[in-house]
Amino acid sequence: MNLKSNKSPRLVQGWGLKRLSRCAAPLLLIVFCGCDSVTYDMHQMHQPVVINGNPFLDSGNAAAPTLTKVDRYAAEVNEAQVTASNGNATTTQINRKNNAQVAAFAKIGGQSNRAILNVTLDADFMAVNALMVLGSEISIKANGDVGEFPVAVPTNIPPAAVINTSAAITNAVPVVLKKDS
Amino acid sequence: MKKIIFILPLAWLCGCAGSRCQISARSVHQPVSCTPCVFDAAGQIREAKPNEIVQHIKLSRTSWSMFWRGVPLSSTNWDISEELNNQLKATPGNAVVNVKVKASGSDFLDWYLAALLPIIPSYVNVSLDADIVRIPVPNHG
Repeated sequence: MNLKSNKSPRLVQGWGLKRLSRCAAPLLLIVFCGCDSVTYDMHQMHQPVVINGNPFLDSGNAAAPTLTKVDRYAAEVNEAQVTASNGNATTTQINRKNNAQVAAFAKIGGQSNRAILNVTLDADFMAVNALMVLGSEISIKANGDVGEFPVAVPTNIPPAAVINTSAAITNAVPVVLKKDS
Repeated sequence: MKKIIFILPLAWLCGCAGSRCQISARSVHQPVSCTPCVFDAAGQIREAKPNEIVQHIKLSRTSWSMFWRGVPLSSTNWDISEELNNQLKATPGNAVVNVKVKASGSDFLDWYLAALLPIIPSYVNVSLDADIVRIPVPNHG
């Protein structure tokens, strides 16, 4: 017995619309929620990260220290979204990555004579349509040099500031422990 | 042969779209920092304070490509040196700080169609926010 023949055309149409709406829902999600944006934001770093080669303010008369390249800096801010369907179920996976400030801190953090120079920012958008798989990725890749200048060692330390440890030990008052009888 | 006839239209329905844009500012003489900090001439870190901001600048650019990103319709390199130099000359500022770059891609309809029909271009939109600041320089001389 053919079950399909018992169904009215209205029922079949209703089932089709229901299925169509179920399949179209993830696509609508991509239409309205896809295509996000990424931001390269370094406002929490408290050391210079410059996109040109000069991190020094121009003072007019004093010459700025000379920077030497000691390392490379590379970081990425990325957001990728992939929606795949196998006909029955649809899955959407979103991946986000932002190591811009962490990578900068790993290179120059805590070293006040270091800066990141010549940073180039490469913004890239790519989307793929492979029938059952739709994917889009937006990223900003940052690349630069880590520069360092020699730290000036202060030479005007007063002699009193130097502690003579041997004298301190010699002049120490001996402590005698008495035992009460 | 039948397989090829079946696969070719399917392969034609697959594709990719997108674009890219590289930002640089190599020929600006004043510091252009992504953080609020720069060095003074003595090598000390100076953080720009909010009251030292003389102007906020906003630049944006859209970079287009077609044929699965293979043919760029606009230059993929965006050198912002000229814009920044002009802004620095027009203001009393001595540094650019808080540079923030935002990238956003094509909307879904555009890239979906661009992947199907590679003659349709797709884009990446890049916008840059920054502050021009006047940081007082201590006289070390």
